[in-house]
Amino acid sequence: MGLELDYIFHPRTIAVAGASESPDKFGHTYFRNVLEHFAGRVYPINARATEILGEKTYASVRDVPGPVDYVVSAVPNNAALDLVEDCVSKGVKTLHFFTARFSETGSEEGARMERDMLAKAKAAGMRILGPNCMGLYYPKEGIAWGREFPWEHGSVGIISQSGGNAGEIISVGAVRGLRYSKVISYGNALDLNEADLLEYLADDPETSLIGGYIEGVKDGRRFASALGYASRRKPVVLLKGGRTRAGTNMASSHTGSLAGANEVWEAMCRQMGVVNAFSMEDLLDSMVAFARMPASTGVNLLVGGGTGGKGVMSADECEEAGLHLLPIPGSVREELVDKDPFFGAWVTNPVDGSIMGGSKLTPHEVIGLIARDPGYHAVINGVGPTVPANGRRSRRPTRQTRMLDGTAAIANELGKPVALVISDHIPDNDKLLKASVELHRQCVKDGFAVFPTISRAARAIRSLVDYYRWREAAG
Amino acid sequence: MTTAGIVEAARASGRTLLNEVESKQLLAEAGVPVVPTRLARSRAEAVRIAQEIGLPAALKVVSPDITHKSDVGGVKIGLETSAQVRAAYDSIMSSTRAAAPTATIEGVSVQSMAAPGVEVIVGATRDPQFGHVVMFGLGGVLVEMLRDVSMRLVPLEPRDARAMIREIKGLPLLQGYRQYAPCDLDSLEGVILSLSRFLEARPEVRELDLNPVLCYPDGLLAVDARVVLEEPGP
Repeated sequence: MGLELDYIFHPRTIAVAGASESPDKFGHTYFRNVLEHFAGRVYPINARATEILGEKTYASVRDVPGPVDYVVSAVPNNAALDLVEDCVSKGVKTLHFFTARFSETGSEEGARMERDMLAKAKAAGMRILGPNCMGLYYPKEGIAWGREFPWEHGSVGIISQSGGNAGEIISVGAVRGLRYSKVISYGNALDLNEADLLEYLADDPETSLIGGYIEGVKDGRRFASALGYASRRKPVVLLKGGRTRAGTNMASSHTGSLAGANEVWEAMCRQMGVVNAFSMEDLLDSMVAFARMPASTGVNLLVGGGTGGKGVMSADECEEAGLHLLPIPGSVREELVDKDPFFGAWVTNPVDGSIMGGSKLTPHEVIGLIARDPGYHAVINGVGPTVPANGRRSRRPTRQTRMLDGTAAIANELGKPVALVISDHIPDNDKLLKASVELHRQCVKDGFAVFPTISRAARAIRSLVDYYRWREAAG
Repeated sequence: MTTAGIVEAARASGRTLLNEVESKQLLAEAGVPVVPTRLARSRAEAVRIAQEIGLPAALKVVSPDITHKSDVGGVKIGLETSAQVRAAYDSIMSSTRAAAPTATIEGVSVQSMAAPGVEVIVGATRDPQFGHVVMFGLGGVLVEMLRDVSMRLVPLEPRDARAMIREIKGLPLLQGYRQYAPCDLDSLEGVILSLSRFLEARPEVRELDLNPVLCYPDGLLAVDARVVLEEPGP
């Protein structure tokens, strides 16, 4: 369906028009990134400087000695049309405009410039990405706009109308263990639009999960059917900007596009099997769930790690998210009582680890035992950092390590979704803060889906369940 | 008159709003069960039609300028005899003329009284981004207050029709609640899918209301209908 766009992601050579010597400019960082990481030739285009980062500059794309497949533009908007002409005459295949201030300003002049650029590019068969966007992040090929983005690649594909949001998804998602196949920030979508890119990612073998930030849609019918096509192949999670009237005003001034009615968007998502995220956190939570949990269609949940009142609250939150806290079945209860008559008879779902002091059973044993019952479909387990008293290091594994090992074993053995909850509360204690950050890093490194609260974990699991149920019914 | 004929006739007279009789005819052809309804332009015609379709009957004013018919005394229901039909006709004419003196009145629609059932709405609108959207919900006069509706884009698959019926909060009312027998949800799905096919074939439809549709243990019946066409293109 959409793989004919694959060449866009595999240029042999890249030129940066408006490559800059000043380190805080896009034209500098982008050039530096591709210079350091991209395998093919890269050329800085700059009429004033003679070299940038030790590379000889060219006054125009036309002056580059060999062929140029991909051009990144950081030139001012009044030089954009000339650049299109230069690129066309050079036989450039794709032109990405970081350059902004076109139709998104609402001016007729900006819209006219875009039309002229598009007409010239179309006539020559050259594709335009943007304008007003950050372009491609394709770590596998060494293409990125952010200096801090991970170069390790993964299988999450992203389309984003907003470059800022794309950057946030990449950076925040990276901390939570997401690694990306291809991220495309497409801005004003003058030529390449959300439907083109979605169709591409739907068929892209490097992408197994699609996320997106969308404000307006150029061709709703085509986009909707592309979503239905994509969702039958891989999960799609979208965050829609401009849902409310205030948001809609922001959307028009931000990237020059009209946002549709929220109810229709919601209905479209349900129909096409798309997870409709309501915030950046929601989008990332769902993506973490899809990227780090196995497929599941069951809602029966086991919760651990909560103590006392927190356990009661978490039960409410999970039920409200559409998951069910299945009471401990009789056969499992017998097994628990066998091991410890007192605590085995007392323990409930959510499992309150704080009641088990002095028991022969440890919380992770209890959770492991209950989770193994086929009636349970998913597990949420809360863990907190532990700090050794008086800084003394013990050779004995801590409760935390035992708990993590136990939970990892559950996740690996059972093939059920397992979420870890680590609070993102910042403690007023450096040791605890350090322990908390280390715990989070370790859990992410171990491959866990980590969430800051039980309710966010529950909502993410429910999105996962809804999607796989939809897909099962779609056949 | 055929579907195309109804649309063309409306276009020719510069109208975008189809009257109740035209709307029902259009939807009947699309496969939606509607209450038999005919237009009467005189008192005598109203009585004759009422006798032909069978008493008891209901009379409603037909006017492109009147949206809320009952607000202007334009609806009379449960008419058991020809004398009652005659009196209802006169009453509708005088009260609508008094309440809406500038309105064009085409006549009255005469229809048989439908048995009570669970009232739902099945409608459609055109979204500027996504095109035709079908809506379903608990209907009647309370629909805008309750807002208990679900939507899907055209074209719908059978699973979409099934899902949108089961998505509303008021679903238990359709599945049998207190004095209400369970409704025939298969027929409801059928109507939703017929509407989807109708809209695919009729891009000129801008808005459409079947409200109320009365749901029964076997089958259903659209009691009122309204179709709005797009403004003709340049």
